[in-house]
Amino acid sequence: MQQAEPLLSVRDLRVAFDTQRGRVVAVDGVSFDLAEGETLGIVGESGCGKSVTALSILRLAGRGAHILSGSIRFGGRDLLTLSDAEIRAVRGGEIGMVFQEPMTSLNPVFTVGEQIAEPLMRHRGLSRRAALDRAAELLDTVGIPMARARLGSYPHEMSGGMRQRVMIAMALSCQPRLLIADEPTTALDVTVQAQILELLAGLKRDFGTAIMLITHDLGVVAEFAQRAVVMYAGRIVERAAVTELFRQPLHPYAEGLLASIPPMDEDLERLRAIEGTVPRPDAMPPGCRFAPRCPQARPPCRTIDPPLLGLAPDHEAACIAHTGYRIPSVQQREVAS
Amino acid sequence: MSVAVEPLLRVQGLTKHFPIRKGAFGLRPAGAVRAVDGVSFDIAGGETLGLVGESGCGKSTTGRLLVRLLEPTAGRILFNGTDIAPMGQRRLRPLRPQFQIIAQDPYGSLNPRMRVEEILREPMQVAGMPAANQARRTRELLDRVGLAPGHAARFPHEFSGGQRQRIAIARSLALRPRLVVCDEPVSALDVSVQAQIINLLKDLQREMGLAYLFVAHDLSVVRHISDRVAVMYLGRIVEVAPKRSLFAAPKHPYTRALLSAVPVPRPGAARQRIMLVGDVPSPAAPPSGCRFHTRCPQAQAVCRVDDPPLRDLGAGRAAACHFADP
Repeated sequence: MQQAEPLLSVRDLRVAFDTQRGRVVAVDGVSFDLAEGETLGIVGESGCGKSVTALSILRLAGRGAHILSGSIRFGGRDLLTLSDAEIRAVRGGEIGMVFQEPMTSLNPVFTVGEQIAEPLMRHRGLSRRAALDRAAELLDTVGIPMARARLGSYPHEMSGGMRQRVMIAMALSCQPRLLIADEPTTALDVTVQAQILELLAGLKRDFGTAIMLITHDLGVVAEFAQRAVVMYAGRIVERAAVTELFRQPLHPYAEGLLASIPPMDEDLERLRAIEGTVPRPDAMPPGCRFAPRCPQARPPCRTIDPPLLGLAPDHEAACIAHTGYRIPSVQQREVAS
Repeated sequence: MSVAVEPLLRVQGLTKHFPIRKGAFGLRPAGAVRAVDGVSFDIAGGETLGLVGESGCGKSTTGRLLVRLLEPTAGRILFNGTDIAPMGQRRLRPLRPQFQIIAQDPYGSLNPRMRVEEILREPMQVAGMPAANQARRTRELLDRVGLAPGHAARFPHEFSGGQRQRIAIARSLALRPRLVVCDEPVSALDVSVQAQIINLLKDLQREMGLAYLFVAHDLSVVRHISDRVAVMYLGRIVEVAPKRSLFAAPKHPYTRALLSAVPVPRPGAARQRIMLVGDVPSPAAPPSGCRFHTRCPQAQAVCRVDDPPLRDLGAGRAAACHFADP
């Protein structure tokens, strides 16, 4: 059953970086969809490729990055085939972005008013005066008190939470259909994090903005996202509705991640840690990349590269333990999904 | 004769003010950042006290004061009954083996030009341990923290973040301390590796009878590892309690807000979130009266005027709030 075309559709994205140790593939065959107005969480630990995936959508992964293959369809176009001028129009226009550390993303020599007004003048053709008026409205929307007076402030005059609100105001200035938030609350204290997440939830509610939230914090995903993608070592290992993922994780990595968080309302003697460490991107193990750390790994896991299989409604995992350590034939796969 | 058991560590009125200087040459004193402002607590031998709070609350400064990496402005730090707060470095040196610190960033705290073996031996050399014992102790330590004997010859950059933290832990244990201050020891690590290090710290504590001051902002980690938890806000302890009662029924409005703000990995969990407004005020100019009154949902007129002391509520609990019930 085919529904309306998703807002964002990433297919088989592969991104490599040139490093001193040669070319390493940081994102290796990532596919997912994001529907209009939906909130998708992309979870994983450092180096799993979640941020590179997000940055690649806007072609911001950096000079050393090479998009080897794949397509990123957004609003009927493939973002990977756009000219530089066209992708600039998308950035800050149809797709807004919020990063982890607002201090490094905001320009220290311009006032916040000028920085919020800039995309409005560039993308919406507003006059300077109209753009500044709109900037004041936006600062008010993101909960900055005395918004108009704050237009003249510089980023260093604000707290971390305030700066992140300014970033969000900038990202929202052109009413984007999609907001990509890369660890937006990681540098913030927990009470301020709660304020920012509440703000993002309000934007989704009030403006129907779709949000792609990249985070390492499973608690944030559980509270904030509707669907989630779990990444490990450059691949998606599980993709599911958030309720399903947390109720019954199907990939041993996702299960291990959930088990390694200490509970807030229960005493445990020991945590169930995942042994070992994430493989280096230039030394990926053959077969399943999680196999060297997986408590359920069997010999086939060391050779078979498991595909993402539909195992339950709205729930896919890349683990062959669920199929008796065999890759199901094409027909079986279609039935399953 | 009743014998009151002396705690391993007793901290009384601990204070650290960092002077702010202004003027052309930074000579003119212009007030002080009151990072730690009259903090008192005990830690028993073998016990873990968790110290939580948001950035700038003074929790890390408190940890660094305890091991005398910083000089206190005022207050007493009784370690085994001896006040180490006023001591100079020369008098501290023979006591230092007994209290150690593990920092957040093991990469920043391990000398990149030293091999692991040298890193581990350095404290033993300073303490004058015979060379033969140093070699044996190094092997023991590596084994104890889950590193292989072959790791001894490697440099810190050859290790992952979790392994580097194991090295830092091994170094802190080299001289068999009785108290280890763990300053955000797992904050820089991925969740899956975090759990390994937390398990290791718990095992070591059991085997060696270590006491920990565990400084962290992650409340679920603190709950897991601590026996008791102290909550700091703007340089003060606002609540201290055994961990179960603190997490089940917090008495201070700040603790309640803090706990309610933590996102839990359980979708759809019914929760009442207490949203605090605004940011933490500057510790250079803390509010009058109760320092939390500017953000407190329950603040009354009295809170703007009277600074509530940390009041004993029984059952090992205390809170600094005019309205906290036992």
